[in-house]
Amino acid sequence: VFALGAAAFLHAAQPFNIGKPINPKYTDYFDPPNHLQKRAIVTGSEAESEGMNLVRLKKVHIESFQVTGEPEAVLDADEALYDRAAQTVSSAGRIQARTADGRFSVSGVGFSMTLTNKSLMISNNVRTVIRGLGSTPNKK
Amino acid sequence: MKLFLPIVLATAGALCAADLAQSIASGDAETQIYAKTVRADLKARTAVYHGSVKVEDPRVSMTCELLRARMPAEGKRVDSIIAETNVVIYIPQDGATNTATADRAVYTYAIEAGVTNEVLELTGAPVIRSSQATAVGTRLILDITTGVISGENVLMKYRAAATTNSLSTNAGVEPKPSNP
Repeated sequence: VFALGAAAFLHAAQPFNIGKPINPKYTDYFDPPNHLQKRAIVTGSEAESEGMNLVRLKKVHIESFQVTGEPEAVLDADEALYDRAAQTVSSAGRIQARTADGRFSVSGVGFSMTLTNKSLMISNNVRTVIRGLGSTPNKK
Repeated sequence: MKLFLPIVLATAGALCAADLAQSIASGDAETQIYAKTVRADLKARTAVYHGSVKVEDPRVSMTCELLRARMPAEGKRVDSIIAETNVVIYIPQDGATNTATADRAVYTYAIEAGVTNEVLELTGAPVIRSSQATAVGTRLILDITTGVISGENVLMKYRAAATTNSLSTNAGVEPKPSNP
């Protein structure tokens, strides 16, 4: 009886865990009056809470949009910490990002992105590829 | 008063204004930029690179410590590039490499009233070197559209002719047209 009681106590003492959300998706919206327009969509393959408003995401994929709804940029990272209060995504790992038109892409190691003002800081080993630097692709 | 002294020089083509113009203006080729850090503003489509910045392009390459670039909306071309601190621009031509050095280089592109303005301005001890000539001054301005080099306190040195042209303040040099 004691053993069963001890086992039950130890089991109850384990951290409460409802499991890690699979394929989590978070949508950020513009401020009023454009509050119905998506500003960014943050997705991952897996999420784990690291405190109030802090989520550790794996296989992060971020899509940002213009206020018109047009795609703006895409960002991919192996993992990142998403601060839902500050609307920032950061990581010490690798990052790849590109504009929606594909003309500008950038990669590096270690980054911080602020979703509200669409700013991206990469802190190491930056490599950018610009296609058609001097061209006017839609020139008629 | 700004005084332009357009001079058609047989050797001025060595300063390769036309090639530089073509290098900057042409191309669907990929341009690669390496740096320690970058701060990009996706909304404004601007990027600021810091630390050991290196630009590689099939027709022109550059190193500097700070580079600011603006990528305009789709369908439009880059209209502003600013390079600062130990700027070195390499322009390969006919197996040789021409160089331009300065503390600051500003490239701007704009169309105003139907007129294309495309200019590269070098300041801070600017020097343009080729195998045949060297241009120095307090400010060198390359009009990429016309191929004219102008500036302030321009001094031209020609190795082949062993001569020196010292042009007074606000001088201009027009290279030999590549395709008459």
